[in-house]
Amino acid sequence: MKYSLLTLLLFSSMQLWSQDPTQTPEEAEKDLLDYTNIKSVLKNDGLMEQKKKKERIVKEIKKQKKQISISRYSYPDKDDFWPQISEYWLVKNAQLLRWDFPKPEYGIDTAFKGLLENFGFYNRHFKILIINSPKMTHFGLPAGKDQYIFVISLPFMRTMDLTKVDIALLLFEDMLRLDEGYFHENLGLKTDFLGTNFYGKEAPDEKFLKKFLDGYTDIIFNKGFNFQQQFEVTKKMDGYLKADPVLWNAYFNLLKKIDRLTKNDLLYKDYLKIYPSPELQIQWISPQKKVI
Amino acid sequence: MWQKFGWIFILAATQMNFASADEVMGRRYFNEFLGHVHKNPSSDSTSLTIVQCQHSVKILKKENVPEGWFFVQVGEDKGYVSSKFLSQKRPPCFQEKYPQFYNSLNLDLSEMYFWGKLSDHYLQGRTQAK
Repeated sequence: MKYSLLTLLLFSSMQLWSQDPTQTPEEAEKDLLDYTNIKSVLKNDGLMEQKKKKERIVKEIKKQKKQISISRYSYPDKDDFWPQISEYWLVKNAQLLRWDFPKPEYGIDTAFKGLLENFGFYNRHFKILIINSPKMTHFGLPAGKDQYIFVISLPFMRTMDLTKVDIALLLFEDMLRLDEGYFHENLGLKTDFLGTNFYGKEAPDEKFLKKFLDGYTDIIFNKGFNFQQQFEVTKKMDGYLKADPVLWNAYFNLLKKIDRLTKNDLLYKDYLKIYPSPELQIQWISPQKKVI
Repeated sequence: MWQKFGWIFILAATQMNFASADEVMGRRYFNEFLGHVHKNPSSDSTSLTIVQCQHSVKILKKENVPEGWFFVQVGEDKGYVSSKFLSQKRPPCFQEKYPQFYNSLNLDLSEMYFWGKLSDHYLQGRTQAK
C-alpha cells in the first residue's frame, strides 16, 4: 500500500514538471493543432475567397446603410420645400383666413385653366384656395417649378362682383409675379441650404421655420410688391392680353374696379400696400394720346 | 330539442356576422400629404379620421357610392375618401423622403387636421397642350 502511494505521487509530480508553467490550458491545446497544415487545404477550397467576398458585401451593406441614414437628414429640394412651406403658412393661418368652410362650385379652376391654355402655358399645375376673409384679397404662393398655390377671397370677389374671367385675370397676374421670382426676392432669405444635408449638423428647429413663416406674413399682409415689380407685371399683362381685345378690355376694367374699391372701401385700403397702385397700372397700359 | 335550438342559434349568429362584415375589394394608398376619411361622400362632411401619405386603406364594397368616391376602412373607421386621393401604387411622400425635416415641423393635431382639409378645399387643375 505504501509503495503504491509513493508511485502515484511520483508519477503525478512528473506530469506537472513536463507542462510549461506559463501556458494556459487553451494555449497548450492550440499547440497540439497545427493550422499551417490545413491552410493550404482551405486555400484550395476557395473558402478564403468566399470569406473575403462576404467581408466585401458586409462592408458595402454597412456603407449603404449609412448613406440611407444620412439621406434621412436631407433638406427638401426647392420643388419640395416651397409647396410645403406655403401650405404650412396656410395651415398656421387657417383661423385668420377662414378657408375651412363649405363652398359651391364656382368654376374658377376651369376658367383659369382655359386662360392659361389660351396663352400657351402648358403643364402648369395649380391649386386655388378660396378664403372667407377680406384680409388677403388674392395672392400667389410659391410651390415649385410650374406649380402654383393661389388664394382668393370670397368677400373680395363678392364686393367687386368679379366674373370668372376677372378672377382668372387676377390669378394670371399673380402667376406672372411668381414666375418673375418677386416673392423670393422680397422674402430675402437665404435658401442655399435647399437640397443639402444636415447630418451631424444643427437640425432645423422652430426658429428656422418661423423665419420663413414670418417672412410670408410680412409680404402677404404688409410689404407686398414694389412699384417697379408692379410696372413690369402690368406691362407683361398688357403684352399678353393685347392679342385678345376682349380680355384686354376686361383687364383694363378690372383695374378700374380695383381702383374705385381701394378709394371708396376702407376694408380694402391695405390693398395698395400690397399691389401699388391700380391708378398707375391704368396709366401704364392706357394707349398714349397722340398730339397732332 | 335543446340541441336543435343550439344549431339554429349558431346558424343565425354566423349569418349576422356575414352581414356585418363588408367585402374588401382591394387596397389603395393615400397620395396626399395629409387627408381625411369623411362620414359622407362630400369634402365638407365630418371627418372620421386623419390619414397620412402612403397609408394603405381597404376599399369596401358598398352600393350607391357616388362616382369619384371610395368607401374605405381605415383602422376601425369606415367612411369615404375621394378617388383622386387614392393610388394603386405606393406614392412618393414628403414624410418618407425627408423624415427628419418632417419631424422638425412638429405638427400638432389641429395643424394635421387643417393640413388634411387643405386638399379637400383646393380647386386643382393642370394645363395641357390642346
